[in-house]
Amino acid sequence: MSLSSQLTALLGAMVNRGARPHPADLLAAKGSGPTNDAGVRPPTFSEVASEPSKRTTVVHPDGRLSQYPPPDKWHDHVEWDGKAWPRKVARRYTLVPTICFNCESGCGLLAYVDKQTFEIRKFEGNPVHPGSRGRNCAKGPATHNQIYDPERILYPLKRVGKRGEGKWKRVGWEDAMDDIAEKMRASREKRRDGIMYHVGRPGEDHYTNRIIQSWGTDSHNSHTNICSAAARVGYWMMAGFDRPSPDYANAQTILLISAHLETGHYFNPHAQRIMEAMNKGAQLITFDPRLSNTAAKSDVWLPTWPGSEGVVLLAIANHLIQNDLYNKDFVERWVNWKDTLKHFDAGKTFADFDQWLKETYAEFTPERAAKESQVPIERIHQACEQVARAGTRLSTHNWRAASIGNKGGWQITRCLFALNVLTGSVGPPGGTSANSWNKFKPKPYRTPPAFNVWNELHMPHEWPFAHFEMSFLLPHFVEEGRGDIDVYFTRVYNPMWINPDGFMWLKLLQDEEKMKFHVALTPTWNESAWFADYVLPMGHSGERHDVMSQETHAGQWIGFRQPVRRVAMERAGKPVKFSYEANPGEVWEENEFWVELTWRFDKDGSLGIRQWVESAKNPGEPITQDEYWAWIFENSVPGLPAAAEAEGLVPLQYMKKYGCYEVVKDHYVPYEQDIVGTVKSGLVHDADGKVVGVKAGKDQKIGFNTPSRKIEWFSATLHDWGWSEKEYSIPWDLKSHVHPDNIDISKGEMLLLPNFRLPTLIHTRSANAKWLYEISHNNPVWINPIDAKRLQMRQGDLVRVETEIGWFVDKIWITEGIKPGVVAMSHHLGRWRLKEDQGVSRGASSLAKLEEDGDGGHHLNILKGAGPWESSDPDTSRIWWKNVGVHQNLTHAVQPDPVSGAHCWLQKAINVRKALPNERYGDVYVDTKKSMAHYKKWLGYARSAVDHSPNGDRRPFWLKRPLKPVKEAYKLPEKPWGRDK
Amino acid sequence: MGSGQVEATALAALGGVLLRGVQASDLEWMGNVPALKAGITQLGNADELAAEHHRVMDREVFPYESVFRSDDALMGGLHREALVPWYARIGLPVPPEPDHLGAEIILYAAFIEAEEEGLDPSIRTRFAAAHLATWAPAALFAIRKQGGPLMPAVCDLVLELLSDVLDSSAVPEDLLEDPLASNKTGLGDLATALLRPSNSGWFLSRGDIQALSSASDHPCGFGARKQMLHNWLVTAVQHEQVDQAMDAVDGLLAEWNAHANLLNAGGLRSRLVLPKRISAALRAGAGAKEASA
Repeated sequence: MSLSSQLTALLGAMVNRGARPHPADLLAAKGSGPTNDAGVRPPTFSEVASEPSKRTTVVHPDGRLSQYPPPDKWHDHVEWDGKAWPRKVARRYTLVPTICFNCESGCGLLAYVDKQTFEIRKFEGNPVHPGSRGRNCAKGPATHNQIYDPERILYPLKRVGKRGEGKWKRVGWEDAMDDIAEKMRASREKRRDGIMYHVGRPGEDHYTNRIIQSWGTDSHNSHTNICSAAARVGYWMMAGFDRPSPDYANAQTILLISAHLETGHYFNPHAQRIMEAMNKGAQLITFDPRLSNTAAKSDVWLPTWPGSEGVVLLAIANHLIQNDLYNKDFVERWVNWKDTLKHFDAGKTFADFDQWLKETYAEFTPERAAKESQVPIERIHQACEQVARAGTRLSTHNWRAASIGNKGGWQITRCLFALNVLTGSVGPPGGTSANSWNKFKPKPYRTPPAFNVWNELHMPHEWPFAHFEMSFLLPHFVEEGRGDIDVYFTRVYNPMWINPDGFMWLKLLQDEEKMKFHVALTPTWNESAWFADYVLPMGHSGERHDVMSQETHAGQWIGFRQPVRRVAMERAGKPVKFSYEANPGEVWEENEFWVELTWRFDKDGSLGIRQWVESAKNPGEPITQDEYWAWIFENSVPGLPAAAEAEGLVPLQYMKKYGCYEVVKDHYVPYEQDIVGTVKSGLVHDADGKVVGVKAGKDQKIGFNTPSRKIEWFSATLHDWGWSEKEYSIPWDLKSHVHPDNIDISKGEMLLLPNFRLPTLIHTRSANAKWLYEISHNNPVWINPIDAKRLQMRQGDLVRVETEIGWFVDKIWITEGIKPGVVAMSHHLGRWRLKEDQGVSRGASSLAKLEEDGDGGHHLNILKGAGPWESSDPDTSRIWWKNVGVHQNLTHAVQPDPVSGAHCWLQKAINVRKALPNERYGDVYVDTKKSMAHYKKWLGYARSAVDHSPNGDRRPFWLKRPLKPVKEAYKLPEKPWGRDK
Repeated sequence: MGSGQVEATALAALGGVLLRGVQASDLEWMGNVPALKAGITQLGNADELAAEHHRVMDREVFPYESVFRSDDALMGGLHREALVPWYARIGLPVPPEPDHLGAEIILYAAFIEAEEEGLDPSIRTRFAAAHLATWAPAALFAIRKQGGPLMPAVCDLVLELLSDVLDSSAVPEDLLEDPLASNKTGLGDLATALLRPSNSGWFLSRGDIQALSSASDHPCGFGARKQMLHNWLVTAVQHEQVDQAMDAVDGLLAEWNAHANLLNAGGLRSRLVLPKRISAALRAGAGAKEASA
C-alpha cells in the first residue's frame, strides 16, 4: 500500500476516533512533576550578587581546625564558586543535613542545594553530628557522583523477554506497585513464607523491619552470614550483645583483630578517635597477615597466620592469669564463675576459679602462640605487656576479619572479649562497651504483632545458633528442594556478585519456577538486578528518609537522613507529595514505596495489614513521612522535644534543621545500673516474674543480656545444644579449616585471603562514583616475594588461582606486605556487565560473557575492560583505567561454620601457578557440581537442633533474630527437612 | 472536524508514539492504518512494543533538539531552554523533556488546533522555522534508519504530514568550525565531527556504525560511538583500505542526501557536505601516501 493510502487511512482513523487526549496529557505521559538534570546532564547553579557568608572555626579534639557555616545561617549561605576562580562568582545555597548511606557509620553530611535551581553542589561534613563531628571519608562527598551518575537508573523498569536478556521497558510507579502487590497478595493468601525481603545494606534502624513484620510473614533475610555473623555469635554467647563499641578516644591500649574495620568500613568515626588516643600516647596493636594502613601505623604489628589469632589472644590471657595481672574484682563480680566451676566440678570459691583458670589456660604459652601464628615471640611479649598495662582502658574490636574468615572464628571473638573481661575493661572509659549501649534505636510507632511462621529457607534446623539467616546458602537450599520463593525483593543487595559461589545464584535467579518473581530495589545497576523482573530505582543518601544511629563512641545519637532537594523545595514553598517528585527522574525512596505498596497489598484491609501504614491524623489515608517521623521525634527520643522547644521548634523541625541529636553523652557501664525486684536464685525478678537483673556482690544490678545476667565464661547454651566439649563451651582456640596442617605449600597449595577492604570503596555500590574508582579500581593478587620466586613469577604476571570449586586468573602484585604462604585479594572489585551500553557503569566494569556447558561448568570471560565513553558528564570520556579487577567470589566454595552459620571466607587455594598463554585476565571457571559437594561436606559439620535441642525448639529463644516470630513458631516441625524418610 | 484539525490530531497521536511508545489507548486507531497495524502485529504484545521503543528512541537515537543542534551534541542547555516559552504561549505545561522530537510535534499540532480558536498562524510558522524544521528531517531519518517493524512507518507518516513545513528549512544555519581546516586534525577529531549532527548533518547510531563496519569489512569493536567510529577509521587506514571504507561512507551519504533532496531540506543538505569532504580528504590522503610509497 502506498504512503498516501496509509496517510488517508491515518486521517480516517482520526476522524473516527472518539475522545482525543489533550496535548498536556500527551506531553505529561513521559513523566510529570518537578525533576532535575541529574543523570542527564551536569548540574547548573545560579549566580547571585552577594558576599560570602562568615564561617565559624571549630577546634577538633586532636587539635585540628576546621571551618563550617554556622547552623543558624544554613538556610541562606553564600560562598564563592571555586570552579569559577579567578573570577569571584557568588552562589547562594540552602544547606540541608542528611546522613551518609555509603557504609553503616551513619556520618553526617551537609548538602549544598542551590536556592534557585535546586541542584546539589556538593556534600560536606555536618559539624554538629556527634559521631563524625564534621569529618567524612572519601565515600561521603562521593555521594554527589552517585546522584549525578550519567548511567543511573532514573525510572522503574520492567523486564521484557527472558530473564537476563537485557530488554526493559519503562513503567510507572503505580503500575509497578499494582503488579507487585497482586503477586504478594496471592502468595500471602496461600502461605506465610513465600515473600522474601533480602537486604544488603539496611542503612536505617527499624522502619522497613516494622513494615515487613506487618505483613505477617517470615520475610526478612539479611546478608549477615557473609558479614558479621561469627563475631555476633561470639559476643552474644558471652555477654548478650552482638558487637563491641570501643571507647577509643580514652584508651590506653587499642587491640584490633585485622585492620578491616578501622581502615575499611566504619572507619571515619573510629579512626579519628584512634588518632586522638594515639596523640595522647595510646598504643596500637594490630593482628593482620597483611600490612594494611592501620598495621603500618601500629606500635605492635602481629602478622598472624589466619586462624591462629585465638592462640595468641589466649597466650595474652594466660599472661594476665598466671601473673595475677587480671582484674579479679571485676571477674568475681561479673563473670559466671560459680556456674563454670560447677560444670567443671572444680570447686566453689573464687580462689578455686582462679586456680582453674591457671590450670586450664596454662597450655597457651607465648612460645606456642609464636609458633602457631608464625610471629616473632618478642612481639607476642610486647602485646602481653601492652594489654596488661592498659588495665580497664583496653579498647578492642573484631568484626568481620578473623571471625568471619575461619571455621570456628566465633571463638576468636570470645578469646578477644575474654581480654576485656580479664582486664575489667567492659564498659568503663577507654574500655569496650556493647553496641547496644551506644546505639540509639527509637521505639517504633505502633509495632505490628510477631508472626507465627518459620521460613525454612531462612533458618534451617541444622544451624540453631545462626546469626542470622543462612542467606548465602539460599541457592543450595532451593537446589536441594527445600522450598521456593513467590516474591523476592533484593534491597541494595547484589547476591550473585557478593556471595560466594555466585554461579549457583545465577542458576537460582534464572529459574522462573523456583524464583517466581524478583524485584530489585537498587540505586544503581548491579549484576543480580540484570536478572530481575522489576528494577526499581531507589535513592542515595540525599534522596530518602531514614533514621540511623551507630555505636561510634561512648554516647548515643540519632541521625535523620533526608531527601535534600525535597527539603530545599519545601523551604522555598514548593510542597512535594512523594520524594520521587523532587529526586532525579523518578528515583524514589523505600519508606514511601513500602507504605504505598503495603496499602495496595491489602487494599481493602481484610488481611489486617493496611492498618499499620494508615495515618492516625487522616484515617483512610496512607501515613506520610512527616507524620511518621514527627511521632517518633516527639515520643521516642528522650530529650529531643525539650531541645527543640528551647529553639522554638517542634522536634521534627529540629531534626530537619540539624539532621541529628545527641541523646546520651559519656555512657559507661550501664550494667551497673541499680534495679529493684525480688531475688530468686541470684536473679532479680519484676512483679510479673520476668528476670530484670542480677545480684552482683551485695547489690542488685541490671547486668548483662544473658540467661545468667552475667558474662558467661562457660556457656550453658552452647553446652546444652550439642556443643558440650570444652573447646566450644568456654573461650578456646578452634582449629581453622585453613590451619597450616591443612595447607601443603609443597604441593602448590596456599591460603587465599579474599576479604580485605579498601577504604574508598563500598561493596558493589562504588561503581557509580567516579572519584572513588579513580582512586582504586583493581584487585591484584598480593603475593610474598618468597612465594613469587618459588612460582617463578615476576611483577605483573598473570596467575591462576584454583579453589576447591574452580579457578580465576588475575595479575600479581609482589609485596612483603603479605605473609608467605598467603595470597590476598581485596573485596569490592571485578564488576562486569553483559551489554555494552547498559548495566554496571562502563568505567567500573568489564564487558563479559557468560557460558555454561550444560553439565555444571560455568565460564565468565572478559571481552574488554573499562574505558571512556560519551555521556552528559565530560569526566566519563576521561576514564584512563582499563583493568577493573577480577570477580573472585564466583570461585569461592560455600563454607558455613557449624556453630555461627557464617560463611568462612578464607579459601584453600589448591593450586597457584603462572597462567598459561591461553588463560586471560579475568577468566573465571566454576564447576557447580563441586559447589554442591562442598556444601554437603560442610553441612555435615553442623549439629542439628533435631538431634540436640534440649526442649524441642529450633533455636534458643533468647538469641537474637532481626524479626522474631512468636514462641510457638520455634517448635521443631514434626517432619524436619531431610528427616522425613 | 476540519482537515487542519484532523491533521493536527494525527500529528499529535504520532508525536505521542514517538515520545512514550505505543499505549493501550493507541491500539484502536493504529489498527486502522495497515502499516502501523502490521508493526503492532509483528511485535506481538505491549511489552515488546515498549522494548522496541526503548531500543530505538532511548538507546540508538537520541531524539532531542539539543543533541542535534548544540556544538557538543549533548542534551539540555540553551536549545532546550529556548523551547520553554513556546509551550507557555498556548498554556501548555512545560514537559520534562521539552526538546524531545515527540514533544515538539505535539506542540506543533497544538498550535494548529489553537488556530481554530484564533491563534495567529505565524506563531506556528515561526516555531517551525526556529525549532522543529531545523532538525526534524535529520532526526526522523535517523530513527527510520534503525529499522524495526514499526518506527519506520511512524516516521514516514510524520514526514508526510510535515512535508510542507520541513521544506521551509531551506535556509542553512551557520556551520561550525571546519575540522579539515587544521593540519593537526586526526582520525579521532574526524570521528567527533562526524558524530555531531550540528557539524555533519547526519546522526550515526551504534547500529549505523556497525553497518559501515560490515559494509567495508573493517572491525569497529565495542564501546562509545566515538570509539567505535575511530576504531573503524584507524583499522581502514592501517590496512590501507581507506577507499573501501569511504565507499561505505559515500553509500550511506547517498541515502541521506536522497532524503534531504526529497524534503528539499536545505539546512540538512548543507551540513551533509562535511561527511562528503571528509570522505574525499581521506581518500586523497590515502592516495597521496600510496603515490609517495
